[in-house]
Amino acid sequence: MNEQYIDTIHRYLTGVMEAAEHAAFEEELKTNATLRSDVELEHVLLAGIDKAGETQLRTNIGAVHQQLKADGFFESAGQEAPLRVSYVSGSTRIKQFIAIAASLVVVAGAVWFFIQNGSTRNDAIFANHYQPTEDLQRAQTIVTRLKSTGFAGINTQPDSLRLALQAYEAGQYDEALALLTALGAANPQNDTVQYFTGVIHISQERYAKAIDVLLPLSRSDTSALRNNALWNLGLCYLKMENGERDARGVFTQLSQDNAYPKQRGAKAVLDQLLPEQ
Amino acid sequence: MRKTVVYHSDEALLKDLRAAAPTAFEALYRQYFRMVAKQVSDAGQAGVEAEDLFQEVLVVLVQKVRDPEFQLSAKLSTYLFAVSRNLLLKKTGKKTELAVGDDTLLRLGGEQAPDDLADLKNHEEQLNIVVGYLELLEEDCNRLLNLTFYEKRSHSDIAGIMGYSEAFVKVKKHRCLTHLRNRVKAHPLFSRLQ
Repeated sequence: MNEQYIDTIHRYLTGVMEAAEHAAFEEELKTNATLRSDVELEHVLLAGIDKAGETQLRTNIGAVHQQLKADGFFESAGQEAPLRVSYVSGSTRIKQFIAIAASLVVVAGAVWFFIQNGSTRNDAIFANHYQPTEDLQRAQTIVTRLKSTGFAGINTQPDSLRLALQAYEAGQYDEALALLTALGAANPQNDTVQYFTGVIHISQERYAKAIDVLLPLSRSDTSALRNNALWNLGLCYLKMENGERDARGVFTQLSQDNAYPKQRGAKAVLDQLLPEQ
Repeated sequence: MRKTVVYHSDEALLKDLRAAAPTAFEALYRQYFRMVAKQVSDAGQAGVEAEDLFQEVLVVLVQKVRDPEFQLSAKLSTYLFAVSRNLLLKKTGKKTELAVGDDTLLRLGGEQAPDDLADLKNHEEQLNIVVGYLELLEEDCNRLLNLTFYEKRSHSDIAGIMGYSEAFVKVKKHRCLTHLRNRVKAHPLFSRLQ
């Protein structure tokens, strides 16, 4: 399909055609089955891109919401006056800019030194503590619990989850991720789907994406996978520029949980991190 | 300790809101959440949670300000409260939506969905497949398609954001979409469209 043909279909679908062209297009649709089929496909593609974008937007807003919740913002909502959004003048901005720039020059060398040493160290900590075999075993346990309930060859959701985890076990990450993403779109609260989506992103070294998925799960009050999500989240932070502070927060939380089987491991990670600046 | 969120103008906040920047969401929470919570409380409707409503408000607000036709003809806070009122009315089953001045953009639209339940389920499954395959695209393809079709950015904007020339944005958009289309078309659920 050539570019101009697709652009015409998109202009029709997004309602930006002029009236005359729109009418002519609709006339063509009545008699041209191929065009009808192509319009239908493009409609689904654009709607799917919209859905993915909206899901991401909701995740981003949810992350800010969760952070404010963790800070106690909503508990204090009834007691305090609204907080202030400050609007500053142009000259103030210039002064602020000069001051910040000067400070940055002074500390740049020191920061560079710590980043170089810190990132190498953090990579080593990650390598020591990232244990994909545990997640594989976890997947196998879940798969054995998910008996096929499909009927007449139609996959049910447990079937899809089982197939996704089996694909993950077999190292077919793309297939597993496609199945998990489809499941996650239909069941955004499913913690198993969230967890293994994050795990697959880690295995593919997409740490920022893994954080996006694991962060909400790590704050769940009900999920049995919460601490495992926290552990992996902490490791992902180690792979992020300036992520050490967040990693420290995660492993501190795990090291204080007496019921967590890898509590000692969390303490070991904390011992290996650079002292907080 | 009270926190101050610094924004230079509604325009700057709007720019960050279009980009869905966390700082913009935080600023709006800190500035307006309490007033929206009061709006919910005053409406006295059980089952409507202020926290859920505010998240919906932000989603709608981002979508509105990304519309290429959107013009900021009143204060951003005015838009926010209009969206909030309309969502509240929608949730509580009241028919009349309130518009601010003549800005029909603030009226809440609803996506055209298939009428039949089986068609709706099939449509949802198809969307989920597209979402799944989008996730499998290269990061830059995924981003470019999002910027083009979801955020409705111009080629020139995208070129600036992604560090490409405008001509390359056009070529790459077509290439990424073709790749996505081919993968989606190969799925059994789309066999009718092959």
